Amino acid sequence: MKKTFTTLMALTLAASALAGCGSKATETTAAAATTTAAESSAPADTKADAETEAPAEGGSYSFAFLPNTQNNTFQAAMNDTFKRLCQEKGYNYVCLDPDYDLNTQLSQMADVANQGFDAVFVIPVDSAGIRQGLEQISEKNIPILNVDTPVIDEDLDLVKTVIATDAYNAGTLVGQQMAADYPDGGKIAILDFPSNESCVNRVAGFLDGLGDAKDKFEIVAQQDGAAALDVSMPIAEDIIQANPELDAFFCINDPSALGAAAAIKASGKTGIGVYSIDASPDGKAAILDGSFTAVAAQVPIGIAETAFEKAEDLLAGKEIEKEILLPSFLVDKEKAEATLNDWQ
Amino acid sequence: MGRRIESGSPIFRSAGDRVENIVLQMRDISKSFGGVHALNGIHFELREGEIHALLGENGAGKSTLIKVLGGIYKPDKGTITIQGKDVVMDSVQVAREHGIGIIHQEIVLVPHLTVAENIFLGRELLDRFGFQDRKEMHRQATEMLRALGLEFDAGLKVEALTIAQQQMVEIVKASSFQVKILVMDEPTSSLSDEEVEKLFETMERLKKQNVSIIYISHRMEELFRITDRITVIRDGSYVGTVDTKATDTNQLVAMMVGRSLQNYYTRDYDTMKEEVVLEVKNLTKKGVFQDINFKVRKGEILGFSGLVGAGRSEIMTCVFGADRFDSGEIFLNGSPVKFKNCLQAINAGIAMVTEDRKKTGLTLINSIMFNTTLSSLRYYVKGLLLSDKKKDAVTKEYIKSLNIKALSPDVAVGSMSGGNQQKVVLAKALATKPKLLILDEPTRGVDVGAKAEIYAIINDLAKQGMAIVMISSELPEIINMCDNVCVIKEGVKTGELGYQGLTQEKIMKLATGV
Amino acid sequence: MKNNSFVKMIKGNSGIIAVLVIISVILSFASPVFLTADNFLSVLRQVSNNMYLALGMTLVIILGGIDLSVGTCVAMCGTLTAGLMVNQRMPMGAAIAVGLLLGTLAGFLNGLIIATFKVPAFIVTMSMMNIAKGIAYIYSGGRSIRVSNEVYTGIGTGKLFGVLPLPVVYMIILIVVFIVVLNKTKFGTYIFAIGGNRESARLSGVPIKKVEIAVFTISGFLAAFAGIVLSARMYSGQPGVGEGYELDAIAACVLGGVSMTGGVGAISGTIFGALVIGIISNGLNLIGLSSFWQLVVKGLIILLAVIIDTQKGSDSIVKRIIKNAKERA
Repeated sequence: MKKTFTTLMALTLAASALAGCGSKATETTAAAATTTAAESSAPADTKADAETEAPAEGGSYSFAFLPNTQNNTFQAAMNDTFKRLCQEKGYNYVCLDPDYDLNTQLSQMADVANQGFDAVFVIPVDSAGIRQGLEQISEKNIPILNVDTPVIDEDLDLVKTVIATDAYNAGTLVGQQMAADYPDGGKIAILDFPSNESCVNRVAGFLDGLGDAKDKFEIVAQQDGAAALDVSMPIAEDIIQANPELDAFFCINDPSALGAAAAIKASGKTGIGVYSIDASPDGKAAILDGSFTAVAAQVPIGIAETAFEKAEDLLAGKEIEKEILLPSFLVDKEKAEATLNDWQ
Repeated sequence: MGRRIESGSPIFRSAGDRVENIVLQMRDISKSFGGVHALNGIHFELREGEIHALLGENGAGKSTLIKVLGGIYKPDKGTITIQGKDVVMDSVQVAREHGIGIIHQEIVLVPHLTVAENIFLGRELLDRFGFQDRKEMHRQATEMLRALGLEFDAGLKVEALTIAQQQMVEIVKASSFQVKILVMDEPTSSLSDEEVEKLFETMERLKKQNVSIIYISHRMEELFRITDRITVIRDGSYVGTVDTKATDTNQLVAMMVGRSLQNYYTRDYDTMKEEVVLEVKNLTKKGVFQDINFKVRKGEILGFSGLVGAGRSEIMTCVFGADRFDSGEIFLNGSPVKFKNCLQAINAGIAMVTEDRKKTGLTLINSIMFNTTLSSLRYYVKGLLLSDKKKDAVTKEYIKSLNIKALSPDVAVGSMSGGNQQKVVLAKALATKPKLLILDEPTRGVDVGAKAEIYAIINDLAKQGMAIVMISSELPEIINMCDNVCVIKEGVKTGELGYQGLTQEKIMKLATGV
Repeated sequence: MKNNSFVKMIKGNSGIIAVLVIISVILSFASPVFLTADNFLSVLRQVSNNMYLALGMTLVIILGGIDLSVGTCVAMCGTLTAGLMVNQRMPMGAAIAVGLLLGTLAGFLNGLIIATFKVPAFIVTMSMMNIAKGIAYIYSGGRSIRVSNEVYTGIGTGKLFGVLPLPVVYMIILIVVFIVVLNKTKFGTYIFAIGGNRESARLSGVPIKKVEIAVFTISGFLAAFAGIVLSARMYSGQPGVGEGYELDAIAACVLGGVSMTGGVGAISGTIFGALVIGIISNGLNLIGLSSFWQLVVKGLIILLAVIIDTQKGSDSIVKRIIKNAKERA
């Protein structure tokens, strides 16, 4: 097992060396296979962040971030925040990207468990399938801070805390806004992403947010936009074709809402509203140019800052809350202008 | 005993002092495909322990008849009687149960498995634990091999065997099914003379074990050597059955083509000019051939003879730019040339008809037009585009001049007979308007009628002043067609002979060194 | 003559055309919108992206190869073209030129490696698939790049005469060019010859290496082109798009009767194949079928279409069943 692992490390190192970030990573080969706690160097992986710091002096920590993907400005903003905070404090930091592949994430978690980090931040690729990885990390007494997408209830005992945007709350805000914009109701279409727990909560919140006006709205289509622009765009085009009197789209994130907006433009129609959740830099630009009607914020930077702070608290022996839900808020043009090229 | 035996004759018949037992009788077999009569009232009769040739031009219906016998096709009409009993041959299984084994032209063994594993493929012997009993299979396989006088090890992988040995394995495999009737479809087409001898030995042994063999081949000499009787069919119809001892080539050819071919070979020996087209000096490819020298003149047919594997084809593929050589020089019309690929050779005026038309000569799924024009597309370019009109015209011209039997230039060559396919390969080479034409086994697997036509075409080309190199394993062809013959033995040229006084013995002496 | 080749084309594609007609009839009953001119244009626009890739893929598969890298090349070229304009402030024309060149280069390298080292196309293009994806991510850091240049987005969203979407116009032009190239040029003939019998083609004087390199280069160019048009349609360069696009392109070819073993195929078949795939997606969306069910239905229809297509020969199961029934009667 160990041999295989070392070979794998060597291979991935070779790959990362090819990618142009090899010099520092090479030094970690030997250390990678061993498991000395605080002294251990940063692990290397194909997608490991190249900017790992040299091991800090005694007393400093090393943190790992295991997001579900890096192909999204949301996770990228969290990574940037973690990286900034760790640099400020001189901590060791590494980010491993499984690219939406649960199997990859599980092996990354096994690697992380073997490398003796002080704390690990995890966004599960799939909440239902991540238990094994959580167990491996817990066995080494490494605290896990679950961020953004919560683990399932049965696994809550394996994580120290869950820190996320209040997805339900974000959905509610958008629902309320839509109810206010269309007092007489209307025909709406929903682009959802049912395989993601947080996105399911957003839709639930949205429907509840419509409140008393709920009966006036007719959902003429509800399709899986895969939370991606190129998937959502043709679906939205077809929905517009099939429903000439469509009033508005509710999309569970900015990429799918951008897809809907592009489809509306291509159809040449005007007056179809686009409601979204995220307020990514792209989403803010869309609010400013009028292609989005309203967007509720996700707060990746807030989550990362909170998670970092709580990790330090935990290592200092303090008690922390089991669940921390950061409230969402609607981003209007002013707020969008103020933080145009960033998350919140 | 009459020369012809009519169908529907009594089951027992005297031959010498022995009473022959008829094992198979096919009567009045007809089969049509969508209106085309592939078989029309064919008769065929097989005695116990007899080798009986089935002869006919390509497309005459031999394969269809064999497929009817093998249970692959159901005949529209007619009866099949085996050991005196009528049999409805409606599946391959039934045929096998009645002791019919068929060895097809293409070898269908699994190359990565051993001889024993191939023989028992699909009916492996198991030991009492339900595992393959390799030891027992090996033992039985060895026994079977020895019974046919074969010396090689049953534990060898099939890919390590020669083609001939592989064919023997096919025979062993077929006979291991308690075979009573063995069909061999052109088994010698890819064998060397020595290997053919081996095959004949094996056939004789089978015959002694009372196995009856239906033998399909185009090689007349072989038929006369090995068979007892010959049944000829033409255009799906029964022509007749003759005793081998009581017939000759002329009669057989006449039966096959429906007329007698006066001149099987056409050759006017006055076409050779002084002008040298190709000169090869000291051509060497290490381990393949050494110091090869020869000249080909305008209007000359230069033969290349020797055993299979002597390096004849390799010399020519190097001249043609298809392979690399180590040293030596090639002169075309007096100026030195060295081709990096076949395109350069073709552009310089060399064309080659390769040895194996199916593997290297044609794209079988494409049409006559596609194949005919492929090497000469540069002549049909009009601006940026190809002119379909010109392609069509050239193809039709060759269909006519080479007498290719096809309804239109759009017919896929894969559906045509061997002789017609070979003519398409020839058309492709000629369409490049070559000064030098290299022919590698130009009549292999081609029936008699088409063979005669191809010889006439080659003679015509020489008459028109084309320089021709002809590699051939058929000695009569070399002797009757070539002005001069180079004999190659193990990569070395052992001699060059003129056509006058040329005999098979002279060539064989140089080819084998005996 | 012209009429003749048209009849041939219809005959050659009878299976897939039948599928197309059946699906269209069912959908026109199921959704009143399906047969509208608006929706027709919408389908064509949605099909266009897959069509660009499938045209190149047709050449590659007839040649006897496969190109798995086109999907991620779409992402790489779209992202870089957008990025060079937005981040590096490169003039639009130059950015597009670099983007096209990049995809063309990727295709050229595919072809060069395949032809020179005789590595299977599957392996080489699979590696290129990863490399292209990696480059897209490295350049963009995983972030999408928003483009506000309206001239650029016009490439994907504009309309000819205010009616015909530009991506559809490109598609039509490319189809015409490819039909001519494949059927009326030496190059096209050589592709069939190599795919049909490589050794025979070599001995017939076909410059195999050159043709191979050229075919993969064309495929790479088309991927880059598709990437740029798509990014213009999406108003952004998206590094994450494109995965699986190669499979859609292959599916279009196979549906259209292009043989995976090489040597056989026609552009017309691929066109119908891409249309069938596009119409299925469009129609199921119009009906409002859940996306999970869509996957199942799509898979089944593609399977059915291929079966119908392979059965259209003389020995088809359908014909045999009919014949048996007649014999019994």
